[in-house]
Amino acid sequence: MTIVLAVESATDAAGVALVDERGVLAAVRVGRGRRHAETVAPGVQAVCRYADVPLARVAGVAVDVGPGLFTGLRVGIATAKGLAYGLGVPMVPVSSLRLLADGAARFMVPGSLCTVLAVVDARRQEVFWASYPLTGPAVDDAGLEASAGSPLRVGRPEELDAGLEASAGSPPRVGRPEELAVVLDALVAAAGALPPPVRSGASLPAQSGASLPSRPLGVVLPRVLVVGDGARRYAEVLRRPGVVLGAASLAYPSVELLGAMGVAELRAGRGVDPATVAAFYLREADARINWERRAPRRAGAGDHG
Amino acid sequence: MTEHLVLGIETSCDETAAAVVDAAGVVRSSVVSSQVDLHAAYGGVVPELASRAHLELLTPVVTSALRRAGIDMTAAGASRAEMAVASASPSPSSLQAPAPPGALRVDAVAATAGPGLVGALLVGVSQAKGLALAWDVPFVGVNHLEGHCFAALLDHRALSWPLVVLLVSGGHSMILAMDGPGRYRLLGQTLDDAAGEAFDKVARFLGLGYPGGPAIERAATRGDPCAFAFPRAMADAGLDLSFSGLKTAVVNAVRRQPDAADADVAASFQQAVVDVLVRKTLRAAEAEAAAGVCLAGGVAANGPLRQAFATACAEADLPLFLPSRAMCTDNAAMVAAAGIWQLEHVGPSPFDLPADPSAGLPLAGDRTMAAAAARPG
Repeated sequence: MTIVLAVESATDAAGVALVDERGVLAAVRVGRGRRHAETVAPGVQAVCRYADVPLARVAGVAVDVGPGLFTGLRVGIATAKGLAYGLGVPMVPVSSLRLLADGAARFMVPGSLCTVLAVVDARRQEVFWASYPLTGPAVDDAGLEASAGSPLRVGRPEELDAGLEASAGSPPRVGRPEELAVVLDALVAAAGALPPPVRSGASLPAQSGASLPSRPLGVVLPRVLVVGDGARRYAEVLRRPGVVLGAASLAYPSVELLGAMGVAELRAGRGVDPATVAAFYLREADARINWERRAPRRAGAGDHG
Repeated sequence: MTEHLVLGIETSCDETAAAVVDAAGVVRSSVVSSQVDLHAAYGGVVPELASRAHLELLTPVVTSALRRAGIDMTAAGASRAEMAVASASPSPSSLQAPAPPGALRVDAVAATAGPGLVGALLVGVSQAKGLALAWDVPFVGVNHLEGHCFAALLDHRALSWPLVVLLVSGGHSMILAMDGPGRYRLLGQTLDDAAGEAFDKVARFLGLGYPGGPAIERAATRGDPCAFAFPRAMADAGLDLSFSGLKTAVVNAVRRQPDAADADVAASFQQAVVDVLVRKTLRAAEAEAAAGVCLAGGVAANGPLRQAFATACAEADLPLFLPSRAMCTDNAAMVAAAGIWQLEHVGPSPFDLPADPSAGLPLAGDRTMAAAAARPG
């Protein structure tokens, strides 16, 4: 079996999991705020104990590289790099926004179509975001698949490979919630041009993953699903017709899913050298921004601070 | 395993450092990657930039320190990684490739846990915990100030006690009595700026660049240390220190004489700092009947300060423990050395140890509590 240790600390929540091809062996999740240095390393000890798996059997370390809260993010990445380097195993870096989107896809109705907008609270009145066109588990209907761009497939590890391919969504960005609201309007309008959302129960394929939740007949599915802690914090700015704001269970990147992605990527030979793993900040460091603003007054710059 | 090698990690400010030290206090390797160029444009250390650089640099710095010490912790693991990638399900037994016989191994990982910049500290503490878990060895969180106190002991085997330690850096200035490793009493400390901070501020005011210590020292070589009679604050009163009045005096003097030579101002300022530090430290040594005087911290790399202490201690017939300049500035060998002592006398740190940006030096009394907390049962 390919056992992967997953470490996730991009937001207020932090998590550690041990995952292999069969699924989650053990997972720890702590949502008590930004004290990740106190929880990540003990979390590693805990999952190994609960799963009865010594670290020596871990084949790789998957880590959420952000975007997210810088200090917490670095705690997870630094710990994960120490673990992977110390064990001599490869790493699998995954974006927090991708994790949020794929986490939402797990709960989608088979064959349904939807744009998922992943939003991470960046503090200082800003959010990180990216959009992903998603379908639920694949159906035979060629028309549906074609209209969805490159759909994410979910459910089985081999399908996760496809989920990691670049999809036709928007690249990650940082900005104010009001800017995101403009993007959201465009996404809703674009989604309106697609075939009408499938109503669950109407034409569900028989082959889909049995464990997915079913919905009552006649429920209209959202055109755009917004997930992440940023979506919850700025719900009032983002709420509009055609948009569903994700539940609390979709607010944080899933460390279990991160582990599953790690297993799939390692099996596909796509692990990387721990020394090359870097944080995906998406925002310049404070000082650099200040410096650029001060540049015209360079002569006096020595007076600051 | 009999070598008792400890890997030290230091990321409290703007140096990314790793080192390997053995139980006998021999430095097997010490690697320091300075971020000075990164921060120079801002005239000071920018915390977020420092934290980002630490995350990027630490793994390569650790790799380099292990290599130079002849340690290969990853040989067995690396082949394991290739197997895991190549084969979907390697058998568990093939995963446990033994290390080559006689290979040197790290027996503990020590990292600076404070004081310092919290985001910077967390990178080192987190990576140290990850390495310790991976290697299944103890983790020790070390106090940065205590690390400085151990630096001099790495270069000079001692010793009789107590020593009087002058610890002067960019963030701290204090005079300590060291009754033995791990046993400190605070005799005096700065009431305002740290000595290194005063160097930085005066250098910035004179436009000499950053970091201020080396900049002032360079400029001062061409100057007259008696050109200006800057104040020696509280020179004969107690053992506390103060540098903010000196800084103001420099500013006022230059405003009065705008055409004063930078070299003369720098030399006179430096001389004032040196005079106060030497006078107070020697007075403390006399009061404590100290067996010697020890310098520590980045400011102790200052040439005229070292020279003045050498002269004064010779006159007073006091042994002087003067670390090499590389051991004065931030490094990881001092962290490993303090970690070795702490492991033996206090025990390993728990894996939920947080970084403490404002940690004080553990003084007499604090330590027993720390020991009790670290040892369950």
